Amino acid sequence: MTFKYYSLFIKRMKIYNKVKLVVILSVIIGCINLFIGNGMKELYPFFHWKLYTSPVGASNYHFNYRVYYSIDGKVFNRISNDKVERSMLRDDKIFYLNYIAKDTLRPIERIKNFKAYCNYLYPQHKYFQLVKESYKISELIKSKNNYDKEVLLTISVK
Amino acid sequence: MIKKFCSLFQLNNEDENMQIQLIHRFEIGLFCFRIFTFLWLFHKLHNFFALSERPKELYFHVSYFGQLFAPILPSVSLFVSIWTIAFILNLLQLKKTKTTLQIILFLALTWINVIEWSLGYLSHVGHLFLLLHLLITFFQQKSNNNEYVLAIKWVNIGLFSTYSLAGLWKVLTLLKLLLLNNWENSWMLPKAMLYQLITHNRDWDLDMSPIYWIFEIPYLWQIAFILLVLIQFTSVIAGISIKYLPIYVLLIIGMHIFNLVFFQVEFYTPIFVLLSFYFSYYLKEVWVNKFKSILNL
Repeated sequence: MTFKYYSLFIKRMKIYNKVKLVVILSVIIGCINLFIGNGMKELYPFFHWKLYTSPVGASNYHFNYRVYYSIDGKVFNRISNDKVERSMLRDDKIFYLNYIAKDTLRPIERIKNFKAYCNYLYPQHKYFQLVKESYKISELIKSKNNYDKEVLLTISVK
Repeated sequence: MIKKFCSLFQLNNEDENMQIQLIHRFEIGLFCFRIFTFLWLFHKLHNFFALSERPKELYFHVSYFGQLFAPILPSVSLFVSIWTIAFILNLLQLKKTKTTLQIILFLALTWINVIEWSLGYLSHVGHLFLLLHLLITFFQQKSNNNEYVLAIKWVNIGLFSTYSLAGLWKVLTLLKLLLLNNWENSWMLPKAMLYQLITHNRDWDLDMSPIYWIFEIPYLWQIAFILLVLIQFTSVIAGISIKYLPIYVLLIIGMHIFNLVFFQVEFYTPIFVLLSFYFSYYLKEVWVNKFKSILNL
């Protein structure tokens, strides 16, 4: 009965009122999501309003995650993120490494994901490290090698 | 003066000729948007074949919609069948929108987009594209011109309110900083833009670029940022008043291109959505008529 009533009500609504309703509803859903949103999960159409409300490097400190590979397990070499590899764009690789490095992830899960990631992108190598490279931006301008390394994870694939 | 300001917020202030023209523009824009949807679909199909070879451990959910409807990476046959449904629904609605078909089309397009999101493909966020598909749902029924124009304006308001809300956050942040008088970590620092640029370049391991001196000009980028925030914040005016619409569309496309060139923020879809939906009319009026007149000569 009530469903019939509502469907009739919507049918008789003027077209601009329907569009207005959709606009207002999606703004409200976006607002709810903003206040109760948990981390990465989003209700759909409105996404990331808070993008760039403050600049990323303003505190003069920043970090990236990078994969290091090794052939013998002793000397590790940096893999720079300057080109598209297989189906992964540069932003995809950043997205995945940030996800893997998150400390909310369980350690087993983390190792599993990192193994899958390395195996997919660099099947020719055996040993890998996930490294957090932190730097002061004012130092990085002078030379691009002015950064600190912190090894988060070491794995061997086989 | 006050009367003029108030009339800005009145939605139905056009005369009859203008209304007919607006409806005409909307219909051309919608047609071109549907054509763009085909291109988008082909792009996504091409992407899916490249993305589906990724290991299944790297598939995780970034939205509740994805968790519900695409819990695991779908098989090729499922993807292709839903893709075909979306293609056919879009083809059926080329001339005229039908509410039920459009709702199914919207869900199918969201499903296609959500899979890419779950695979970490964040660089082509399609929020504007999907929002427009949602907002045009109810354009099946024909009513009188006055109501139709109001509905078109609400579509514009819906699209531009996303930009306005993005601007609202920046305005609120600036006000907060002004009240606290604490300018650490803000865009008002002289080196904010330069540092942002360097972190973005570092993400992609780009070399130090020779254009850095542009970002060291004092005051230029603070003023530019305030202007940008004002443009974003007030962009809902474009939805309310048709007079300011082309300017705002151009400014927002300019903003996207600026981000693309300097900050490697790859937002391609909004540019094409705005171009196809709002500027196809001018394309038709100017270039097709010119072409016709050349043929007549």
